[in-house]
Amino acid sequence: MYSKELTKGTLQPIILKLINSRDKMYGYEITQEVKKLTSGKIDISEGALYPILHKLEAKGVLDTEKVFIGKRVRKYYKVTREGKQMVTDVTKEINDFIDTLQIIFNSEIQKL
Amino acid sequence: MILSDKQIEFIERNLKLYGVKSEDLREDLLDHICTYIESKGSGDFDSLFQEALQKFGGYASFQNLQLETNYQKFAKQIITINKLKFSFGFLVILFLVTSLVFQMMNWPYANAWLLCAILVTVLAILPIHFYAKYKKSIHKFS
Repeated sequence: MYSKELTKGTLQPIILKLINSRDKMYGYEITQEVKKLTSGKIDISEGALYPILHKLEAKGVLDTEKVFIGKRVRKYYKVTREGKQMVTDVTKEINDFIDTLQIIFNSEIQKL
Repeated sequence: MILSDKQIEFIERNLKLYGVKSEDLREDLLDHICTYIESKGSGDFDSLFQEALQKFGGYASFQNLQLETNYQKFAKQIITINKLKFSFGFLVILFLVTSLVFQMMNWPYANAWLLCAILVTVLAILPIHFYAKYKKSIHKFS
């Protein structure tokens, strides 16, 4: 599993991208899906997930839909029309970031 | 295992007790904990509940989770408030300097500039400052 320091900055893009790839997702599902997709290498902590989801909701990037499951409510999150642009931007930025990291970690850096 | 209504109520009561005051966040956490327990095939409720709490970092971390959520939600608003405070502060300094220059040069309306500075402070900066303080107090920023 990757360290928290390494994944911290990528949690929001990961969550956004994942929700965008599905129609809608709920909190527990997001943590499990990320774990499954990354073979357990990235484990989004519950303490980090919900502040991010609520922040994105407050910013209008995510919208919620409440479904009653017996006595409790399940909140499904989905990307709003305005949020789609953010997903595109964030995907571009992450890909660019990966390319930049490749330069440092996967190539021979010429010694000065 | 399937949770009974009483067990769901018990979890919700505990979340309230641990400091999760916002209903919005509580709904999320309640469903998360319930789904976690239900996803486990067997086991007794108490130990699975404790296990679910540990996933969040123990009961003490729920208050921090509430504070962090508040902070994340209102961080954007605080940035706007700070920008406004800075802009009006800059305006006040500008009025004060102008007033001082006018005073030194014995030009007319030096007092008018001073009055402008006072008015901006009283009508803009102070209300914004107290509004921000009020917001912080109701959202209890960490």
